[in-house]
Amino acid sequence: MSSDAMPERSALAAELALGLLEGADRASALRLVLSDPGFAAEVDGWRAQLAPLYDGFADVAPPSGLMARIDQAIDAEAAADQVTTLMPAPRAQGRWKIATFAASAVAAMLALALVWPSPQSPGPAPQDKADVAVAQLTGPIDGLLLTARYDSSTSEMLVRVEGMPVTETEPELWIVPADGQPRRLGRLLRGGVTRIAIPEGHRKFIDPVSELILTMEPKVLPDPDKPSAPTVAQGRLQRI
Amino acid sequence: MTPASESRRADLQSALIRVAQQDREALRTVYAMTSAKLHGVCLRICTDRGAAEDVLQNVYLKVWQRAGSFDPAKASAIAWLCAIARNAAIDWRRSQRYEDPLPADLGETLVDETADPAADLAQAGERAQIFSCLEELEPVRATAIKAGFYQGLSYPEIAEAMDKPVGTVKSWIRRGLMQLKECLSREQ
Repeated sequence: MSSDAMPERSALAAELALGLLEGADRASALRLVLSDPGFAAEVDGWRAQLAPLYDGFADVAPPSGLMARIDQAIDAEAAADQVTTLMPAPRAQGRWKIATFAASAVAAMLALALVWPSPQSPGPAPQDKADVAVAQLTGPIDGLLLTARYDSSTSEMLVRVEGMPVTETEPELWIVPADGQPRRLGRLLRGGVTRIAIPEGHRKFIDPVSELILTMEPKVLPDPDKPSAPTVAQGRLQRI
Repeated sequence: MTPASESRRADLQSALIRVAQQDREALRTVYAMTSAKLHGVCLRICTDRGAAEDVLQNVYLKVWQRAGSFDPAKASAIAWLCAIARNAAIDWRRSQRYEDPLPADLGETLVDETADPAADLAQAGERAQIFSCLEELEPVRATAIKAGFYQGLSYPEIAEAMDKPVGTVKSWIRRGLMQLKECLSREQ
């Protein structure tokens, strides 16, 4: 080994931070981020060290109408959240496009909801006005997909995990409401469906502003009040 | 860092934290303060004006959705935003490659030396440090690292642009990064 060669693991962390890796190499480095907090910290360290390089990108003013397009896109997503209200009548072609986008987003979320079996209800039938919210969580890990469905009539969240790589760490689900402080919902099974009873104090956070996040934590959670590892999948709750 | 740039950084950080609370006006503030920089990132990596605009639009949508995961203890607001833009632009670039490979011209890896860190959101001291560390590297190593960072090129793309085997480029970059790390720790 020459004097300026880097240990394989450090090199991999730097390559991941720099964005050089692709395909299977990238996937295996991302798995290492999940399974090895030391490696994850090394990647974060490289990102921080490289960050001043962003100064080297020149400023180029974007076209003037772009913020308006962003506003429209956000409005379209918000419209998709409010499925109980009727779609606005298409006033102009632009408006029509937004409505179509919103409708397809709604369809996607409904399809997601239908994936789930209806909640088992041995007792009285759920109330008619039961609130159901769903979320799809994804992140940088290829193939990792979580789908969550919350039913206010049972105060339970069902979370389906697919594509979880083998790791030493355990998947932990959190909800991040508008205040930005994550609240722990619980540990998930590595595959299949986990049923989580949402504590009463956390039920108020089930709204479209809140985000569900997944972190990979040590077997003994260092701090039940906050994640100790980076977010590996996230998704926003949508009422359906 | 000058007091003026420090206050701009603080303004940006507090606006980004308000975006996490779904404050649309705060998003406009973040956009006004950062859109030229992030557009510069997207344009450099996408090399296509229309694509860069589409990617930039999606970047601010992501910012709107993910601002809650911004952690000021881990990154400055501008670094967090630039990372989202760079990753989104790289994703777009790589998604295009199989249909229509984009040219990689390393003449474009020149860094914008005219940017004034005092007037910007930059971390002025660190800027000088990492740039001077890059200058200490053998030119081929620095060029390869810059091609990865500023153009979002992968190992095979850098190898093709420099007309060298992938293994050679990989070794240049790994050694260059190691030297960079040593240089940064030495001067801290």
